Amino acid sequence: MSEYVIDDRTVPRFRVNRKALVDQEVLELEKSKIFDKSWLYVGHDSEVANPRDFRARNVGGRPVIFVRSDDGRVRVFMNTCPHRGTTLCQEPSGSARFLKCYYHAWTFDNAGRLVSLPDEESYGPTFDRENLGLAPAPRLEQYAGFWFLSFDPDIVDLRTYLAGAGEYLDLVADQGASGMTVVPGSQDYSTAANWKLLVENSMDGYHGAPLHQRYFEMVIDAGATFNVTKSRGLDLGNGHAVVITNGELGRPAPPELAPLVDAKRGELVARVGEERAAKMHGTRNLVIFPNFALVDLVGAITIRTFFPVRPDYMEVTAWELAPADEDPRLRRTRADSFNTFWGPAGLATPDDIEALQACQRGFAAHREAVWSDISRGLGTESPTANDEIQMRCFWRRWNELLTGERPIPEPQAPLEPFAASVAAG
Amino acid sequence: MSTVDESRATLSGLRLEIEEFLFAECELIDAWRLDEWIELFSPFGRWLVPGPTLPDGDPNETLYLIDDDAFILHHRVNGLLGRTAHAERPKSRVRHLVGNVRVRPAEHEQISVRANFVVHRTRASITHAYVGEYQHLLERGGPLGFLFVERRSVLDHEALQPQSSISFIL
Repeated sequence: MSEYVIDDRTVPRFRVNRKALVDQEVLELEKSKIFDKSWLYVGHDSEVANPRDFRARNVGGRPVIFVRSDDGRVRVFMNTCPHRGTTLCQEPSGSARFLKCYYHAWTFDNAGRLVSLPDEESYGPTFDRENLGLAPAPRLEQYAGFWFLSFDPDIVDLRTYLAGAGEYLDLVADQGASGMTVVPGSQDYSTAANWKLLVENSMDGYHGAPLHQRYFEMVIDAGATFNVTKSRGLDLGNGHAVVITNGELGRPAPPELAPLVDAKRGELVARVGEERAAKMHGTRNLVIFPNFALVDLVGAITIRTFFPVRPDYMEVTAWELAPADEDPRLRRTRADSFNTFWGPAGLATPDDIEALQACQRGFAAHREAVWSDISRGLGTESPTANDEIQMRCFWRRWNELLTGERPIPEPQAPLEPFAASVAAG
Repeated sequence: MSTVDESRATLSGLRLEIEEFLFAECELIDAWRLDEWIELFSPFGRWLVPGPTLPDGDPNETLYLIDDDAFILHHRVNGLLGRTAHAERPKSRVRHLVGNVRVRPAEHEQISVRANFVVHRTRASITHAYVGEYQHLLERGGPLGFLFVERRSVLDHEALQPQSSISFIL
Protein backbone atom coordinates (compact mmCIF):
# COMPACT_ATOMS: atom_id res chain seq x y z
CA MET A 1 0.00 0.00 0.00
CA SER A 2 1.45 3.33 -1.03
CA GLU A 3 2.43 5.66 1.76
CA TYR A 4 1.36 8.61 -0.38
CA VAL A 5 -2.00 7.73 -1.91
CA ILE A 6 -5.05 5.98 -0.47
CA ASP A 7 -7.44 4.93 -3.24
CA ASP A 8 -10.21 3.22 -1.28
CA ARG A 9 -13.18 2.22 -3.46
CA THR A 10 -15.14 0.71 -0.57
CA VAL A 11 -15.82 3.91 1.37
CA PRO A 12 -15.22 5.43 -1.29
CA ARG A 13 -12.40 7.83 -0.51
CA PHE A 14 -9.25 9.10 -2.21
CA ARG A 15 -6.58 10.76 -0.12
CA VAL A 16 -3.10 12.06 -0.69
CA ASN A 17 -0.52 12.32 2.07
CA ARG A 18 0.67 15.90 2.23
CA LYS A 19 4.28 14.84 2.67
CA ALA A 20 4.17 14.21 -1.09
CA LEU A 21 3.95 17.99 -1.40
CA VAL A 22 6.68 18.81 1.10
CA ASP A 23 9.49 16.24 1.11
CA GLN A 24 12.77 16.82 -0.71
CA GLU A 25 13.19 13.03 -1.15
CA VAL A 26 9.89 12.93 -3.03
CA LEU A 27 11.12 15.67 -5.35
CA GLU A 28 14.33 13.74 -6.05
CA LEU A 29 12.27 10.64 -6.89
CA GLU A 30 9.99 12.73 -9.12
CA LYS A 31 12.99 14.04 -11.05
CA SER A 32 14.34 10.58 -11.84
CA LYS A 33 11.12 8.57 -12.10
CA ILE A 34 8.76 11.11 -13.65
CA PHE A 35 10.47 14.07 -15.30
CA ASP A 36 13.26 11.92 -16.75
CA LYS A 37 10.81 9.27 -17.95
CA SER A 38 8.01 11.30 -19.54
CA TRP A 39 7.35 13.44 -22.57
CA LEU A 40 7.87 17.11 -21.62
CA TYR A 41 6.55 20.08 -23.59
CA VAL A 42 9.22 22.14 -25.37
CA GLY A 43 7.35 24.61 -27.54
CA HIS A 44 4.98 25.14 -30.41
CA ASP A 45 5.81 24.74 -34.08
CA SER A 46 4.93 28.40 -34.69
CA GLU A 47 7.73 29.51 -32.34
CA VAL A 48 10.31 28.20 -34.82
CA ALA A 49 8.32 28.94 -37.95
CA ASN A 50 11.30 29.68 -40.20
CA PRO A 51 14.64 27.95 -40.69
CA ARG A 52 17.24 29.45 -38.31
CA ASP A 53 14.59 30.47 -35.72
CA PHE A 54 15.61 29.37 -32.25
CA ARG A 55 14.31 29.56 -28.67
CA ALA A 56 16.48 29.05 -25.63
CA ARG A 57 14.56 27.89 -22.57
CA ASN A 58 14.57 25.46 -19.68
CA VAL A 59 12.82 22.11 -20.06
CA GLY A 60 12.84 19.52 -17.29
CA GLY A 61 15.51 21.46 -15.44
CA ARG A 62 17.92 21.59 -18.39
CA PRO A 63 18.77 24.58 -20.61
CA VAL A 64 17.87 23.64 -24.18
CA ILE A 65 17.90 25.18 -27.63
CA PHE A 66 14.71 24.62 -29.67
CA VAL A 67 15.61 25.36 -33.28
CA ARG A 68 14.53 24.87 -36.88
CA SER A 69 17.67 24.02 -38.84
CA ASP A 70 18.50 25.14 -42.37
CA ASP A 71 17.19 21.79 -43.65
CA GLY A 72 13.73 22.64 -42.24
CA ARG A 73 13.84 20.03 -39.46
CA VAL A 74 13.09 20.99 -35.89
CA ARG A 75 15.73 19.95 -33.38
CA VAL A 76 16.42 20.32 -29.66
CA PHE A 77 19.96 20.48 -28.27
CA MET A 78 21.26 20.88 -24.74
CA ASN A 79 22.31 24.52 -24.47
CA THR A 80 25.89 23.74 -23.45
CA CYS A 81 29.15 23.76 -25.37
CA PRO A 82 30.67 20.26 -25.73
CA HIS A 83 34.11 21.76 -25.05
CA ARG A 84 33.79 23.30 -21.58
CA GLY A 85 30.04 23.74 -21.02
CA THR A 86 29.30 27.43 -21.68
CA THR A 87 25.69 28.07 -22.64
CA LEU A 88 25.69 28.87 -26.36
CA CYS A 89 22.47 30.88 -26.64
CA GLN A 90 22.27 33.77 -24.20
CA GLU A 91 19.26 35.36 -25.92
CA PRO A 92 15.84 33.78 -25.34
CA SER A 93 15.08 33.84 -29.07
CA GLY A 94 16.57 34.78 -32.39
CA SER A 95 17.66 33.59 -35.77
CA ALA A 96 21.05 31.98 -36.27
CA ARG A 97 22.90 30.22 -39.03
CA PHE A 98 25.76 29.42 -36.65
CA LEU A 99 26.13 29.29 -32.88
CA LYS A 100 29.56 30.41 -31.77
CA CYS A 101 30.73 29.87 -28.22
CA TYR A 102 32.25 33.11 -26.96
CA TYR A 103 34.64 31.28 -24.61
CA HIS A 104 36.95 29.46 -27.08
CA ALA A 105 35.19 30.24 -30.38
CA TRP A 106 34.01 26.71 -31.14
CA THR A 107 31.33 27.17 -33.81
CA PHE A 108 28.31 24.96 -34.53
CA ASP A 109 25.77 25.08 -37.33
CA ASN A 110 22.07 25.14 -36.52
CA ALA A 111 21.88 21.38 -37.00
CA GLY A 112 24.32 21.01 -34.11
CA ARG A 113 27.47 20.05 -36.05
CA LEU A 114 30.85 21.40 -34.97
CA VAL A 115 31.95 23.27 -38.06
CA SER A 116 35.01 25.20 -36.93
CA LEU A 117 37.31 25.83 -33.99
CA PRO A 118 40.59 27.70 -33.60
CA ASP A 119 43.83 25.72 -34.09
CA GLU A 120 42.14 22.40 -34.83
CA GLU A 121 45.46 21.05 -36.17
CA SER A 122 47.02 20.99 -32.71
CA TYR A 123 44.51 18.38 -31.61
CA GLY A 124 46.15 15.95 -34.04
CA PRO A 125 44.63 13.22 -36.26
CA THR A 126 42.66 11.60 -33.43
CA PHE A 127 40.46 14.64 -32.92
CA ASP A 128 36.88 13.35 -33.10
CA ARG A 129 35.10 16.35 -34.58
CA GLU A 130 32.13 14.24 -35.80
CA ASN A 131 31.24 13.37 -32.23
CA LEU A 132 31.78 16.79 -30.71
CA GLY A 133 28.56 18.33 -31.94
CA LEU A 134 25.80 19.62 -29.69
CA ALA A 135 24.13 16.99 -27.52
CA PRO A 136 20.62 16.39 -28.84
CA ALA A 137 17.60 15.71 -26.65
CA PRO A 138 17.33 11.89 -26.58
CA ARG A 139 13.84 11.97 -28.13
CA LEU A 140 11.87 14.71 -29.86
CA GLU A 141 8.43 14.38 -31.46
CA GLN A 142 5.47 16.60 -32.19
CA TYR A 143 1.74 16.15 -32.25
CA ALA A 144 -0.65 18.74 -33.73
CA GLY A 145 2.15 21.32 -33.69
CA PHE A 146 3.06 20.75 -30.03
CA TRP A 147 6.69 19.62 -29.65
CA PHE A 148 7.66 17.36 -26.76
CA LEU A 149 11.03 15.96 -25.77
CA SER A 150 11.99 13.06 -23.54
CA PHE A 151 15.18 12.37 -21.63
CA ASP A 152 14.31 8.66 -21.78
CA PRO A 153 15.64 7.25 -25.06
CA ASP A 154 13.39 4.17 -24.73
CA ILE A 155 10.10 5.91 -24.03
CA VAL A 156 7.03 4.91 -26.03
CA ASP A 157 6.27 7.16 -29.02
CA LEU A 158 4.47 10.43 -28.31
CA ARG A 159 1.21 9.53 -30.03
CA THR A 160 0.87 6.37 -27.97
CA TYR A 161 1.86 8.24 -24.81
CA LEU A 162 -0.81 10.89 -25.42
CA ALA A 163 -3.57 8.24 -25.52
CA GLY A 164 -6.94 10.06 -25.26
CA ALA A 165 -5.30 13.47 -24.89
CA GLY A 166 -4.46 13.63 -28.61
CA GLU A 167 -8.10 14.25 -29.47
CA TYR A 168 -8.21 17.30 -27.20
CA LEU A 169 -5.03 18.76 -28.68
CA ASP A 170 -6.71 18.31 -32.07
CA LEU A 171 -9.84 20.15 -30.92
CA VAL A 172 -7.64 23.17 -30.22
CA ALA A 173 -5.20 22.81 -33.12
CA ASP A 174 -8.07 22.66 -35.63
CA GLN A 175 -9.63 25.94 -34.50
CA GLY A 176 -7.48 27.99 -36.86
CA ALA A 177 -8.15 27.89 -40.58
CA SER A 178 -4.40 28.40 -41.12
CA GLY A 179 -3.33 26.58 -37.98
CA MET A 180 -2.52 28.00 -34.57
CA THR A 181 0.25 30.31 -33.43
CA VAL A 182 1.80 31.33 -30.16
CA VAL A 183 1.31 35.08 -29.74
CA PRO A 184 4.78 36.65 -29.33
CA GLY A 185 5.84 36.85 -25.70
CA SER A 186 5.32 34.73 -22.64
CA GLN A 187 4.34 35.14 -19.01
CA ASP A 188 7.02 33.70 -16.75
CA TYR A 189 6.31 33.68 -13.07
CA SER A 190 6.76 31.66 -9.92
CA THR A 191 4.55 30.23 -7.21
CA ALA A 192 5.75 29.38 -3.71
CA ALA A 193 4.00 26.03 -3.76
CA ASN A 194 4.49 22.43 -4.85
CA TRP A 195 4.17 21.93 -8.61
CA LYS A 196 1.48 19.30 -8.24
CA LEU A 197 -0.88 21.90 -6.79
CA LEU A 198 -0.84 23.65 -10.14
CA VAL A 199 -1.72 20.38 -11.88
CA GLU A 200 -4.82 20.23 -9.69
CA ASN A 201 -5.65 23.92 -10.00
CA SER A 202 -5.42 23.78 -13.81
CA MET A 203 -8.40 21.45 -14.00
CA ASP A 204 -10.54 22.24 -10.99
CA GLY A 205 -14.06 23.51 -11.67
CA TYR A 206 -15.03 23.44 -8.02
CA HIS A 207 -13.01 26.56 -7.14
CA GLY A 208 -14.41 28.69 -9.97
CA ALA A 209 -17.36 30.28 -8.21
CA PRO A 210 -15.79 31.03 -4.81
CA LEU A 211 -12.24 31.91 -5.80
CA HIS A 212 -12.91 33.73 -9.05
CA GLN A 213 -15.91 35.76 -7.94
CA ARG A 214 -14.30 39.07 -8.94
CA TYR A 215 -13.62 37.81 -12.44
CA PHE A 216 -17.18 36.52 -12.91
CA GLU A 217 -18.65 39.77 -11.59
CA MET A 218 -16.71 41.59 -14.30
CA VAL A 219 -17.86 39.21 -17.02
CA ILE A 220 -21.50 39.47 -15.92
CA ASP A 221 -21.19 43.26 -15.91
CA ALA A 222 -19.86 42.97 -19.49
CA GLY A 223 -23.08 41.24 -20.52
CA ALA A 224 -22.24 37.54 -20.34
CA THR A 225 -25.03 35.07 -19.70
CA PHE A 226 -23.55 31.89 -18.34
CA ASN A 227 -24.80 29.00 -20.35
CA VAL A 228 -22.88 26.07 -18.90
CA THR A 229 -25.42 23.31 -18.51
CA LYS A 230 -23.25 20.23 -19.05
CA SER A 231 -19.78 19.29 -17.94
CA ARG A 232 -17.65 16.20 -17.59
CA GLY A 233 -14.35 15.09 -16.16
CA LEU A 234 -12.58 12.44 -18.25
CA ASP A 235 -9.71 10.02 -17.70
CA LEU A 236 -7.71 10.11 -20.94
CA GLY A 237 -5.23 7.38 -19.96
CA ASN A 238 -1.57 7.47 -18.89
CA GLY A 239 -2.28 10.10 -16.22
CA HIS A 240 -3.76 12.65 -18.63
CA ALA A 241 -7.20 14.12 -17.98
CA VAL A 242 -9.56 16.83 -19.13
CA VAL A 243 -12.64 18.64 -17.86
CA ILE A 244 -15.00 19.95 -20.50
CA THR A 245 -18.12 22.10 -20.44
CA ASN A 246 -20.62 23.17 -23.08
CA GLY A 247 -20.59 26.88 -22.27
CA GLU A 248 -18.54 30.02 -22.55
CA LEU A 249 -16.98 31.74 -19.58
CA GLY A 250 -15.38 34.77 -21.15
CA ARG A 251 -16.22 38.38 -21.72
CA PRO A 252 -18.54 38.56 -24.73
CA ALA A 253 -17.16 40.08 -27.92
CA PRO A 254 -18.39 43.63 -28.51
CA PRO A 255 -21.69 43.63 -30.47
CA GLU A 256 -20.11 45.40 -33.44
CA LEU A 257 -17.91 42.33 -33.98
CA ALA A 258 -20.89 39.96 -34.25
CA PRO A 259 -20.60 39.66 -38.07
CA LEU A 260 -16.92 38.65 -37.69
CA VAL A 261 -17.77 36.10 -34.99
CA ASP A 262 -20.55 34.63 -37.16
CA ALA A 263 -18.29 34.48 -40.19
CA LYS A 264 -15.65 32.67 -38.17
CA ARG A 265 -18.19 30.15 -36.91
CA GLY A 266 -19.46 29.66 -40.47
CA GLU A 267 -15.95 29.01 -41.76
CA LEU A 268 -15.36 26.49 -38.99
CA VAL A 269 -18.57 24.58 -39.70
CA ALA A 270 -17.79 24.52 -43.41
CA ARG A 271 -14.29 23.19 -42.73
CA VAL A 272 -14.90 20.58 -39.98
CA GLY A 273 -18.67 19.97 -40.04
CA GLU A 274 -21.45 20.76 -37.57
CA GLU A 275 -20.74 17.95 -35.15
CA ARG A 276 -17.01 18.68 -34.76
CA ALA A 277 -17.63 22.42 -34.61
CA ALA A 278 -20.05 21.74 -31.74
CA LYS A 279 -17.33 19.73 -29.99
CA MET A 280 -14.90 22.62 -30.40
CA HIS A 281 -17.42 25.00 -28.85
CA GLY A 282 -17.38 25.12 -25.08
CA THR A 283 -14.40 24.83 -22.76
CA ARG A 284 -11.62 22.35 -22.03
CA ASN A 285 -9.03 22.17 -19.27
CA LEU A 286 -6.45 19.57 -20.31
CA VAL A 287 -3.39 18.32 -18.42
CA ILE A 288 -0.87 16.08 -20.16
CA PHE A 289 1.11 14.21 -17.54
CA PRO A 290 3.21 15.38 -15.87
CA ASN A 291 3.35 19.16 -16.27
CA PHE A 292 1.68 20.55 -19.40
CA ALA A 293 -1.67 22.29 -19.20
CA LEU A 294 -3.79 23.65 -22.04
CA VAL A 295 -6.85 25.61 -21.02
CA ASP A 296 -9.39 26.85 -23.56
CA LEU A 297 -11.87 28.45 -21.21
CA VAL A 298 -12.58 32.17 -21.45
CA GLY A 299 -12.46 32.96 -25.15
CA ALA A 300 -8.69 32.68 -25.04
CA ILE A 301 -6.32 29.73 -24.85
CA THR A 302 -3.38 29.45 -22.50
CA ILE A 303 -0.70 26.78 -22.57
CA ARG A 304 1.58 26.44 -19.59
CA THR A 305 4.37 24.33 -18.18
CA PHE A 306 5.84 24.39 -14.72
CA PHE A 307 8.82 22.79 -13.02
CA PRO A 308 9.76 22.34 -9.37
CA VAL A 309 12.84 24.20 -8.19
CA ARG A 310 12.14 23.10 -4.60
CA PRO A 311 9.25 21.22 -3.06
CA ASP A 312 7.72 24.57 -2.10
CA TYR A 313 8.64 26.63 -5.20
CA MET A 314 7.91 26.21 -8.89
CA GLU A 315 8.63 28.23 -12.01
CA VAL A 316 5.80 28.61 -14.50
CA THR A 317 5.78 29.67 -18.14
CA ALA A 318 2.52 30.50 -19.90
CA TRP A 319 1.84 31.42 -23.49
CA GLU A 320 -1.19 32.60 -25.46
CA LEU A 321 -2.23 30.31 -28.30
CA ALA A 322 -4.46 31.76 -31.01
CA PRO A 323 -5.61 31.04 -34.57
CA ALA A 324 -2.97 32.19 -37.01
CA ASP A 325 -4.13 34.93 -39.39
CA GLU A 326 -6.90 35.92 -36.98
CA ASP A 327 -8.70 39.19 -37.75
CA PRO A 328 -6.92 41.90 -35.69
CA ARG A 329 -10.19 43.00 -34.08
CA LEU A 330 -10.93 39.44 -32.92
CA ARG A 331 -7.34 39.08 -31.78
CA ARG A 332 -7.76 42.27 -29.72
CA THR A 333 -10.90 40.86 -28.07
CA ARG A 334 -9.05 37.61 -27.44
CA ALA A 335 -6.17 39.53 -25.82
CA ASP A 336 -8.61 41.35 -23.53
CA SER A 337 -10.11 38.00 -22.49
CA PHE A 338 -6.66 36.52 -21.99
CA ASN A 339 -5.29 39.36 -19.91
CA THR A 340 -8.26 39.60 -17.60
CA PHE A 341 -8.27 35.92 -16.68
CA TRP A 342 -4.89 34.39 -17.43
CA GLY A 343 -1.54 35.54 -16.33
CA PRO A 344 -0.06 36.59 -13.02
CA ALA A 345 -1.49 40.13 -13.21
CA GLY A 346 -5.08 39.51 -14.25
CA LEU A 347 -8.28 39.26 -12.22
CA ALA A 348 -8.09 35.50 -11.66
CA THR A 349 -4.66 33.82 -11.70
CA PRO A 350 -3.22 35.93 -8.85
CA ASP A 351 -5.97 34.49 -6.65
CA ASP A 352 -5.05 30.96 -7.75
CA ILE A 353 -1.39 31.70 -6.97
CA GLU A 354 -2.35 33.01 -3.55
CA ALA A 355 -4.50 29.95 -2.83
CA LEU A 356 -1.70 27.54 -3.76
CA GLN A 357 0.82 29.46 -1.67
CA ALA A 358 -1.59 29.38 1.25
CA CYS A 359 -1.94 25.60 0.84
CA GLN A 360 1.82 25.27 0.98
CA ARG A 361 1.94 27.38 4.15
CA GLY A 362 -0.70 25.05 5.61
CA PHE A 363 1.38 22.00 4.72
CA ALA A 364 3.86 22.95 7.42
CA ALA A 365 1.33 21.20 9.66
CA HIS A 366 1.36 18.06 7.50
CA ARG A 367 2.33 15.78 10.40
CA GLU A 368 -0.93 16.70 12.16
CA ALA A 369 -3.21 17.43 9.19
CA VAL A 370 -1.91 14.56 7.14
CA TRP A 371 -4.29 14.00 4.26
CA SER A 372 -5.72 15.99 1.37
CA ASP A 373 -9.10 14.68 0.29
CA ILE A 374 -9.65 14.28 -3.44
CA SER A 375 -12.82 12.21 -3.38
CA ARG A 376 -15.38 14.32 -5.23
CA GLY A 377 -17.24 12.20 -7.74
CA LEU A 378 -15.58 8.95 -6.71
CA GLY A 379 -18.20 6.28 -7.29
CA THR A 380 -20.08 8.10 -10.07
CA GLU A 381 -19.51 7.16 -13.70
CA SER A 382 -20.20 10.65 -15.12
CA PRO A 383 -18.31 13.05 -12.89
CA THR A 384 -18.70 16.74 -13.67
CA ALA A 385 -16.11 19.49 -13.95
CA ASN A 386 -16.74 20.20 -10.26
CA ASP A 387 -15.69 16.67 -9.32
CA GLU A 388 -12.15 15.43 -9.00
CA ILE A 389 -11.59 12.40 -11.23
CA GLN A 390 -9.16 14.46 -13.28
CA MET A 391 -6.89 14.93 -10.26
CA ARG A 392 -7.18 11.29 -9.26
CA CYS A 393 -5.96 10.28 -12.74
CA PHE A 394 -2.85 12.38 -12.22
CA TRP A 395 -2.21 11.12 -8.72
CA ARG A 396 -2.72 7.45 -9.68
CA ARG A 397 -0.15 7.72 -12.46
CA TRP A 398 2.19 9.66 -10.18
CA ASN A 399 1.80 6.97 -7.53
CA GLU A 400 2.41 4.21 -10.07
CA LEU A 401 5.69 5.74 -11.22
CA LEU A 402 6.94 6.38 -7.71
CA THR A 403 5.85 3.19 -5.96
CA GLY A 404 5.08 0.66 -8.69
CA GLU A 405 1.49 0.29 -7.45
CA ARG A 406 -0.76 -0.44 -10.46
CA PRO A 407 -3.76 1.90 -10.61
CA ILE A 408 -7.30 0.65 -11.11
CA PRO A 409 -9.12 3.14 -13.36
CA GLU A 410 -12.55 4.36 -12.30
CA PRO A 411 -15.42 3.09 -14.46
CA GLN A 412 -16.48 5.81 -16.88
CA ALA A 413 -19.81 6.16 -18.66
CA PRO A 414 -19.41 6.85 -22.37
CA LEU A 415 -19.25 10.55 -23.21
CA GLU A 416 -22.44 11.65 -24.96
CA PRO A 417 -21.85 14.61 -27.26
CA PHE A 418 -23.03 17.78 -25.57
CA ALA A 419 -24.78 18.93 -28.76
CA ALA A 420 -25.10 18.03 -32.45
CA SER A 421 -24.44 21.60 -33.42
CA VAL A 422 -23.43 24.84 -31.79
CA ALA A 423 -26.98 26.11 -32.20
CA ALA A 424 -28.34 23.07 -30.40
CA GLY A 425 -25.81 23.44 -27.54
CA MET B 1 17.34 85.25 -19.62
CA SER B 2 18.08 83.52 -22.98
CA THR B 3 15.42 81.35 -24.64
CA VAL B 4 17.49 78.26 -23.76
CA ASP B 5 17.45 79.29 -20.11
CA GLU B 6 13.74 80.09 -20.36
CA SER B 7 12.81 76.72 -21.81
CA ARG B 8 15.04 74.95 -19.31
CA ALA B 9 13.31 76.81 -16.49
CA THR B 10 9.91 75.92 -17.96
CA LEU B 11 10.87 72.28 -18.20
CA SER B 12 12.22 72.29 -14.66
CA GLY B 13 9.01 73.82 -13.46
CA LEU B 14 7.02 71.20 -15.34
CA ARG B 15 9.16 68.44 -13.92
CA LEU B 16 8.51 69.73 -10.42
CA GLU B 17 4.76 69.68 -11.09
CA ILE B 18 4.94 66.15 -12.47
CA GLU B 19 7.06 64.90 -9.57
CA GLU B 20 4.53 66.28 -7.13
CA PHE B 21 1.77 64.60 -9.09
CA LEU B 22 3.61 61.25 -9.11
CA PHE B 23 4.37 61.44 -5.39
CA ALA B 24 0.71 62.21 -4.66
CA GLU B 25 -0.42 59.40 -6.95
CA CYS B 26 1.87 56.88 -5.23
CA GLU B 27 0.70 58.07 -1.84
CA LEU B 28 -2.86 57.17 -2.86
CA ILE B 29 -1.77 53.74 -4.11
CA ASP B 30 0.30 52.91 -1.02
CA ALA B 31 -2.61 53.93 1.20
CA TRP B 32 -4.99 51.74 -0.88
CA ARG B 33 -7.09 54.84 -1.64
CA LEU B 34 -7.80 53.33 -5.02
CA ASP B 35 -11.21 54.95 -5.44
CA GLU B 36 -9.34 58.28 -5.53
CA TRP B 37 -6.52 56.84 -7.64
CA ILE B 38 -8.86 55.72 -10.40
CA GLU B 39 -10.09 59.33 -10.72
CA LEU B 40 -6.65 60.16 -12.12
CA PHE B 41 -7.40 58.50 -15.47
CA SER B 42 -8.83 60.30 -18.47
CA PRO B 43 -12.00 58.64 -19.82
CA PHE B 44 -10.10 56.58 -22.42
CA GLY B 45 -7.02 56.19 -20.25
CA ARG B 46 -5.39 52.78 -19.94
CA TRP B 47 -2.98 51.06 -17.58
CA LEU B 48 -0.46 48.92 -19.42
CA VAL B 49 2.21 46.51 -18.21
CA PRO B 50 4.02 44.89 -21.16
CA GLY B 51 5.02 41.25 -20.99
CA PRO B 52 8.49 41.23 -19.39
CA THR B 53 10.10 39.31 -22.25
CA LEU B 54 9.05 41.99 -24.78
CA PRO B 55 9.04 45.32 -22.91
CA ASP B 56 8.76 47.33 -26.15
CA GLY B 57 5.98 45.17 -27.57
CA ASP B 58 2.79 46.51 -29.14
CA PRO B 59 -0.29 45.42 -27.16
CA ASN B 60 -2.01 44.46 -30.42
CA GLU B 61 0.84 42.12 -31.39
CA THR B 62 2.43 40.78 -28.22
CA LEU B 63 1.39 39.24 -24.92
CA TYR B 64 0.98 41.79 -22.13
CA LEU B 65 0.54 41.33 -18.38
CA ILE B 66 -1.95 44.17 -17.97
CA ASP B 67 -3.87 46.16 -20.59
CA ASP B 68 -6.73 47.66 -18.61
CA ASP B 69 -9.28 50.00 -20.12
CA ALA B 70 -11.64 52.00 -17.90
CA PHE B 71 -14.07 49.11 -17.58
CA ILE B 72 -11.47 46.61 -16.38
CA LEU B 73 -9.73 49.20 -14.18
CA HIS B 74 -13.05 49.84 -12.49
CA HIS B 75 -13.47 46.12 -11.77
CA ARG B 76 -9.88 45.72 -10.68
CA VAL B 77 -10.25 48.55 -8.17
CA ASN B 78 -13.66 47.40 -6.95
CA GLY B 79 -12.36 43.89 -6.39
CA LEU B 80 -9.33 45.18 -4.50
CA LEU B 81 -11.44 47.45 -2.30
CA GLY B 82 -14.05 44.75 -1.66
CA ARG B 83 -13.71 41.22 -0.39
CA THR B 84 -13.21 39.23 -3.58
CA ALA B 85 -9.54 39.86 -4.38
CA HIS B 86 -8.20 36.99 -2.33
CA ALA B 87 -4.65 37.73 -3.40
CA GLU B 88 -4.94 40.98 -1.41
CA ARG B 89 -6.77 39.80 1.70
CA PRO B 90 -5.29 40.98 3.91
CA LYS B 91 -3.83 43.81 1.87
CA SER B 92 -0.13 43.74 1.13
CA ARG B 93 1.99 46.61 2.34
CA VAL B 94 3.14 48.48 -0.72
CA ARG B 95 5.75 51.21 -0.93
CA HIS B 96 6.55 53.10 -4.13
CA LEU B 97 9.85 54.89 -4.75
CA VAL B 98 9.81 57.14 -7.80
CA GLY B 99 12.84 58.94 -9.10
CA ASN B 100 14.84 60.06 -12.14
CA VAL B 101 11.78 61.89 -13.40
CA ARG B 102 12.14 63.20 -16.96
CA VAL B 103 9.45 65.16 -18.76
CA ARG B 104 8.97 66.22 -22.33
CA PRO B 105 6.09 68.05 -23.96
CA ALA B 106 4.18 65.83 -26.39
CA GLU B 107 1.52 66.40 -29.06
CA HIS B 108 -1.92 67.79 -28.27
CA GLU B 109 -0.58 69.53 -25.15
CA GLN B 110 0.08 66.17 -23.53
CA ILE B 111 3.20 65.47 -21.49
CA SER B 112 5.45 62.46 -21.89
CA VAL B 113 6.89 61.30 -18.57
CA ARG B 114 9.61 58.78 -17.79
CA ALA B 115 10.55 57.89 -14.24
CA ASN B 116 12.28 55.01 -12.50
CA PHE B 117 10.36 53.02 -9.94
CA VAL B 118 11.12 50.54 -7.22
CA VAL B 119 8.05 49.13 -5.50
CA HIS B 120 8.40 46.94 -2.43
CA ARG B 121 5.52 44.69 -1.59
CA THR B 122 5.30 42.81 1.70
CA ARG B 123 2.95 39.90 2.16
CA ALA B 124 3.03 37.05 4.70
CA SER B 125 6.35 38.42 6.03
CA ILE B 126 8.05 38.24 2.65
CA THR B 127 9.12 41.39 0.82
CA HIS B 128 9.65 41.48 -2.92
CA ALA B 129 10.94 44.33 -5.06
CA TYR B 130 9.57 45.27 -8.47
CA VAL B 131 11.91 47.48 -10.53
CA GLY B 132 11.27 49.29 -13.77
CA GLU B 133 10.45 52.46 -15.62
CA TYR B 134 7.22 54.40 -15.84
CA GLN B 135 6.43 55.62 -19.35
CA HIS B 136 3.33 57.75 -18.96
CA LEU B 137 1.39 60.08 -21.19
CA LEU B 138 -0.42 62.76 -19.22
CA GLU B 139 -2.80 65.62 -19.94
CA ARG B 140 -3.75 68.46 -17.65
CA GLY B 141 -6.90 68.13 -15.60
CA GLY B 142 -8.42 66.14 -12.79
CA PRO B 143 -8.24 66.45 -9.00
CA LEU B 144 -4.43 66.46 -8.83
CA GLY B 145 -3.73 68.56 -11.91
CA PHE B 146 -2.94 65.76 -14.36
CA LEU B 147 -4.75 62.77 -15.84
CA PHE B 148 -3.34 59.55 -17.27
CA VAL B 149 -3.94 59.15 -20.98
CA GLU B 150 -1.66 56.15 -20.76
CA ARG B 151 -0.14 54.81 -17.56
CA ARG B 152 2.60 52.36 -18.39
CA SER B 153 4.71 50.34 -15.91
CA VAL B 154 7.60 48.65 -17.73
CA LEU B 155 9.33 45.99 -15.65
CA ASP B 156 13.06 45.33 -15.82
CA HIS B 157 12.51 41.77 -14.63
CA GLU B 158 12.47 39.10 -17.34
CA ALA B 159 10.13 37.02 -15.20
CA LEU B 160 8.04 37.53 -12.07
CA GLN B 161 10.39 35.22 -10.20
CA PRO B 162 10.27 35.20 -7.23
CA GLN B 163 7.56 37.88 -7.11
CA SER B 164 4.92 35.42 -8.46
CA SER B 165 2.26 37.99 -9.37
CA ILE B 166 1.11 41.59 -9.58
CA SER B 167 -2.05 41.74 -7.50
CA PHE B 168 -1.71 45.39 -6.44
CA ILE B 169 -1.25 48.63 -8.36
CA LEU B 170 2.32 48.67 -9.63
